[in-house]
Amino acid sequence: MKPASLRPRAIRTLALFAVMGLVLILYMARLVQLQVFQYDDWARRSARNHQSKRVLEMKRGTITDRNGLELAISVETYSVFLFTREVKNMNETANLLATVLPMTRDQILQKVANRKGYLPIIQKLDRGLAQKVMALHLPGVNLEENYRRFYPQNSLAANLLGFCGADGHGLEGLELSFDKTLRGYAGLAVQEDVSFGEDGPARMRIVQPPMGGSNMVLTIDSFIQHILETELAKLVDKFKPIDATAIAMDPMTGEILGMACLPTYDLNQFASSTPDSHRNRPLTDIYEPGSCMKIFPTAVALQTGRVRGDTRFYCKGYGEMPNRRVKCHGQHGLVDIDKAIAESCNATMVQISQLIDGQDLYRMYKNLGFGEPTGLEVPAESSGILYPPSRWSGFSAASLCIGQEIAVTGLQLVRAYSAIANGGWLMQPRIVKKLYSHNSDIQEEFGPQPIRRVLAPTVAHRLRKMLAGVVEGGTGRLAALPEYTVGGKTSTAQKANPRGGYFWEKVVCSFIGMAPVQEPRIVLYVAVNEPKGDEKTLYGGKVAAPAFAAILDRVLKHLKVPPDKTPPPGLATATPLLAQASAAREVSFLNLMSAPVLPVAEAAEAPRGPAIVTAPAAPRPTTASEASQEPTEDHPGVLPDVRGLPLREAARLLAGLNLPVAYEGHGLAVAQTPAPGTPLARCSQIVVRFSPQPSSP
Amino acid sequence: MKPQHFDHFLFLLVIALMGIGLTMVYSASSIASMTDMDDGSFYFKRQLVWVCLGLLALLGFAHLDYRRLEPLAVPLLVTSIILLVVVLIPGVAREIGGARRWIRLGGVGFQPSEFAKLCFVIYLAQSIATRQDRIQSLLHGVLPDMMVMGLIFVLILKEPNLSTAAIVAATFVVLLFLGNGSLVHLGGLGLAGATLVVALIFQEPYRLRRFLAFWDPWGAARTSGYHIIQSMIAIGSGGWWGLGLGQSRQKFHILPERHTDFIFAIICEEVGLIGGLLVIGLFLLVIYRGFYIANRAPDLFGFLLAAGITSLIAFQALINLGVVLCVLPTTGVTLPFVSYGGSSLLFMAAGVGILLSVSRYGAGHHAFEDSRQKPFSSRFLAFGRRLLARPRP
Repeated sequence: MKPASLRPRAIRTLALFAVMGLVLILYMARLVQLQVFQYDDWARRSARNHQSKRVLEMKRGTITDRNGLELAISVETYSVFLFTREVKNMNETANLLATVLPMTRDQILQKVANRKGYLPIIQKLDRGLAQKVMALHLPGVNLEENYRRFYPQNSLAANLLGFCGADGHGLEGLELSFDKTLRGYAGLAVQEDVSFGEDGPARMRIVQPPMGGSNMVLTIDSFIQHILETELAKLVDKFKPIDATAIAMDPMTGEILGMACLPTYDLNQFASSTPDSHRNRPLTDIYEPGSCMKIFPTAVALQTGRVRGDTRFYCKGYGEMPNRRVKCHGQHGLVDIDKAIAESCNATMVQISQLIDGQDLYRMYKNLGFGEPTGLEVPAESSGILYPPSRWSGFSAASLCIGQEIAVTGLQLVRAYSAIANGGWLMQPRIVKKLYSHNSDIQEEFGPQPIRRVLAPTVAHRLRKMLAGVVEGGTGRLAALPEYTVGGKTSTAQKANPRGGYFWEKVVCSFIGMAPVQEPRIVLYVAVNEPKGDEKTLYGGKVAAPAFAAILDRVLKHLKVPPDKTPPPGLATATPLLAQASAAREVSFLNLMSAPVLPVAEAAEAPRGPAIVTAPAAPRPTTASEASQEPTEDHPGVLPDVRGLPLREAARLLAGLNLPVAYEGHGLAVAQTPAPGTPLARCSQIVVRFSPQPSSP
Repeated sequence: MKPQHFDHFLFLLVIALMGIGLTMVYSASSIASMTDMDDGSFYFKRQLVWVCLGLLALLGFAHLDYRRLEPLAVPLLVTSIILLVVVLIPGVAREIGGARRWIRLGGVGFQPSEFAKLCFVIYLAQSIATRQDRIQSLLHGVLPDMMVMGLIFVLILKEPNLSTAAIVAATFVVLLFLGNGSLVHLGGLGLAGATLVVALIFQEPYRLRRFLAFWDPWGAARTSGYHIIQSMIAIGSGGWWGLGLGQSRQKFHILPERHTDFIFAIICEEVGLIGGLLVIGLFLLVIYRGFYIANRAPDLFGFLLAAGITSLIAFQALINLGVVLCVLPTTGVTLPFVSYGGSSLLFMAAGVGILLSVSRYGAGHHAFEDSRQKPFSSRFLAFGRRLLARPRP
C-alpha cells in the first residue's frame, strides 16, 4: 500500500526528526540542570529578587531630669517614598504630591528622574503633613516613619547628655554610654513584593518585632543645672578662662544634681560645634588640685592620732625639707591645725607630711577614690594619676600633702569631699536615677551605693569644722552666705610646666565646699581653668569662691533647705531639733539607705527625740520580736532600748546602728550606756551589760 | 479514497498545549493585567477568545480537503507579501519597541509575518511538489523559490524581526531537503544562511548586545543580560515540583514578556521540572506526530505541506525554548499554542488544521474508530499470541 517513492523522503524526515528530538532532549537535560542541580542557587536569587529586608525603627528612650523635665526626646518624622512600579501616572502623582508637600512638581519629578525602584522623595515631615499625604491615597506613594532626636533644653547639660548621630546612634555623653539601653532593639521585617491583595501593596512578615528603648531618669535637677550654667557663664565672662566647671552632688546619696562645664554647645546643632566643646570636662580633664587636697592628709593625721586637735605648728614662711623649701603664701607663725587649713598653710602641711606615714597617706587617697575612675557611666572618664609609694621621691609625701604630684578630676574631688560631708562614707556617684521601659512594665530604680567607710564619723565632723573655719575666717571668706553655714576649701593650683616646675601665672582656681555644715545637703565644686586678670587677685578664694557662694545660695533655696545661721523667728524652736536630727542622720547613715532623700521638713516636724530622752519607755515584758521592731521604728535617730532582751536580740537591734558595741556578761540585758533614747549622734560606743536570768528581777 | 477521521492524537496534543497555555497565560499575566488594565483576567479573556477562534480555524481547516489549497498557494503568497509591504509603510503599523510588526484591524492586532510564514509553507509545498522533476537543478529547481524566500526574508527583516525571517529561511531549507533537493545545494544554502545570520547579528547593535549577553549574562545583569538571568531564576527556583500554580514570584514585574515569549519560564517556576518536561515532551510528540502524518500523506504536496507546518511549529518551539532556557540568544519568538498572542495562535491553529486535514487522507490508519485498523493494543496481543504459538524446535 505504501508507494515506493515515499521511501527516500521517510529517511530524510526521520533524520530531521532525530535532530529536532535530540535538541529537545538536550533541553530537558538543561531543565534538569537548572531545576535540580542549581536549584538552591536560583531559589536564593529569586528570594533576593522578591524579598527585601526592612529594619523597623524603634523609638529611642526619653531622657528626663529627676523632676520629669524632658532633656532628650525622639520625635516622629516621616519620609515619603515613591515605589515606581506601583505608580500609575507619574506626572499626576507628582502634581498631587506637590499640592501637599513643600516641593514643586518639577522638584518631585527631578527626584525620580526616570529612575526605577523605591525612591526617596522627601524626609523629616511632621505628622500633619504625613497625614495629608496619606489622605491622598496615591498608589505607589509610601510613608515611612522614623525618629529624630530632639533636645528641648538645647544646651542644658549638653556635655553630660551628648547627642545622637543621624542614624540614631549615640555619639557622645550619656547618649553614647547608654546607647544600647536607650536604643532598644530594632525589629526586622521581610517584605515580599508578590501580593496585590487588599492588605496593601506588599506583604510584610515581621521576623523580629522592635523593642522600644528604655527611658532614663537622671539624677540631674534641671534647675540646679541651670544655676550652675548661668553662674559659670558669668564667671567665664569675667575671667575669660580656658574652661570652667561646676559639679553639685548630694553627699548622702551620691546623686549628681548638676554637672556643668564651659565651653558648651547646642545639642540640636551639634554639627556646627567644635569637638573640643563636646568634652564633659568635670570627668575627662585632670589637673593637679592644689590646696583643696590639704584636708585629706589632715584627716590621716587626725585618724592615726599623729596630730591632735591642740597640736601646734610653726610657719616661718616656708616648709622645711631636706635640701628643699616649700614656699608658703605668708608667714603664719604659730598655728593650730584649724588655722593652718583656714589659711591654707603649706609649711604646716609639710610638717604633717613628715608626721604621718606615707603608706597611710597613699591608702587614704586610694580609699577616697583618687587614681581610679569613679565609675560614673559617662564615656571617656579619666582615672587621674596617683603613684604608689614605691614610685615616690623624697619630696612626694610633701607634694601630695599640698595637692601636687597627683592629678584628679573634678568628680573625684567632689566624691572625696562628699565623704567628709556624709560622715565618712565614700559614695558611688550616680547619674541615673531610674530606667523604665516604654510602657513602664519594667523599671529599675537605683539607690545610694556606699563603697566603703573612709573616715571615722568623728574625724569627718572635725574636718567639717575646719572647712567651716576656712569660710568663716580663712581664705574662703567670699564663699560665706548670710543664711547658711558653709564649709569649703579654696585652691589655687599652679599648672605644671611640661618642661618642669610650675607656671606662676597659669593657675586653676577652684573652690569646693558644702552646706549647711552640720548636715550638708550639697557638695559643690567650682573650678576655673586659667582665669585672666590681675595676678594678685587670681586665687581660688577670689575667683571661684564668689561664684560658689552665688550658686550655693540659689541651690540651697531651691532645695528649700532651712537657713541655719540667722534663723527667722518662725523656725527658732525647730532649729535645735534640726541640728539634732541632722547629727543623727549623719551617724546612722546606713539606716537611711532605704530612704535616699530625707526631707529636712520631716525631721523638723517629728519632735519625738527629746521626748524619749526625758521619759524613756519603761521596759515591758514583750516578746522578742515585738521589742526588736518597736524602738527603731518609732524613734529614728535615737538609741533603742535593749534592756530585758537576750544577747542575740540586742545584738540584732544594735547592729544596724553601725556603732561599736561592747557586750558584758551573759543572760538578759540589764543595763546599757548611754541610756536608751540618747540621740545616736552623741553615742560613740555602746556598752550593754547582761546578767544571768535568775538574778534579774 | 474515503477520508478518515483526522488524527486524534495530534489533536489531543494540541488541545493539551492550548489548555496549558491558557492556564499559564492566566497566571502569568494576572499581575500585568491588574496593574495595566485593572482587571486580573484581561489577557486571559482575550486569549480565551483567540483559543476559541483558533479551534474554529483548526476544525475548519481539518475538515477542508488540503488539496484545495494547492491552487490558492500563489494568491495567498501574494496577499501575504502585500501585507508585509503594508506593515512597513510608516503610519500603518503600530511601532512597538522600535519594530513595526503589527497591523491593527478594528482593535485587533495582527502580525503579517505570522500569516506569511504559513502562506510561504503552502506555496513552497506546492512549488516543490510541482517542480519535483527539476528540483535537483539549481537554476530551475532551487532559485525561483529562493527568490521568493529572499523577498519575504528581506521584508520581515525590515520590520525588523530577524528570528521570524530566520525561521522562514530555515523552513525553506528543510522543505528543500525533504523535497528531495540536492544535498550540495542544501549544504551551500545552510552555510550561506548561517553566515548571513551572523552578519546580521553583528550589523545591529542591539542584536550584538543580546548575543554577547547570552555568552556572559552576568556581565550585563541589569541591561541586556537581565532577561536571561531573570528567566533562569524563574526556571531554577521552580525545583522539582514548582512553587505551585499561581505562585510564581518572577511574574511580579520582574520577568519581562512573562505571558508571551517567556511563558515557559513561568511554567517551570510554577509547575517545576515535571511541568517543564511535560511541555517539552508534548512538543516532542507534536513534532513526531506531524512528521508521522507527513510521511503518510498520499501525495508529495501533502507530505511537504505537513512536514513544512510541523517544521514551522518545531522551529518556533525549539527557538523559544532555547531562548527561555538560555541556550540561544534572546529573540522574540512565541511558544506555539502556549504563549499569549492572537495572530500567532490563530495561524498556528490553522496550520495544525491543515496538518489534520492531511492526516485524513493519509495512508496510515489514525482513526481509532476505523474498523479496518485494529487498535495498537490488539496488535500487541496478537504479537504475543504468535510468540506463544510458535512451535518449539
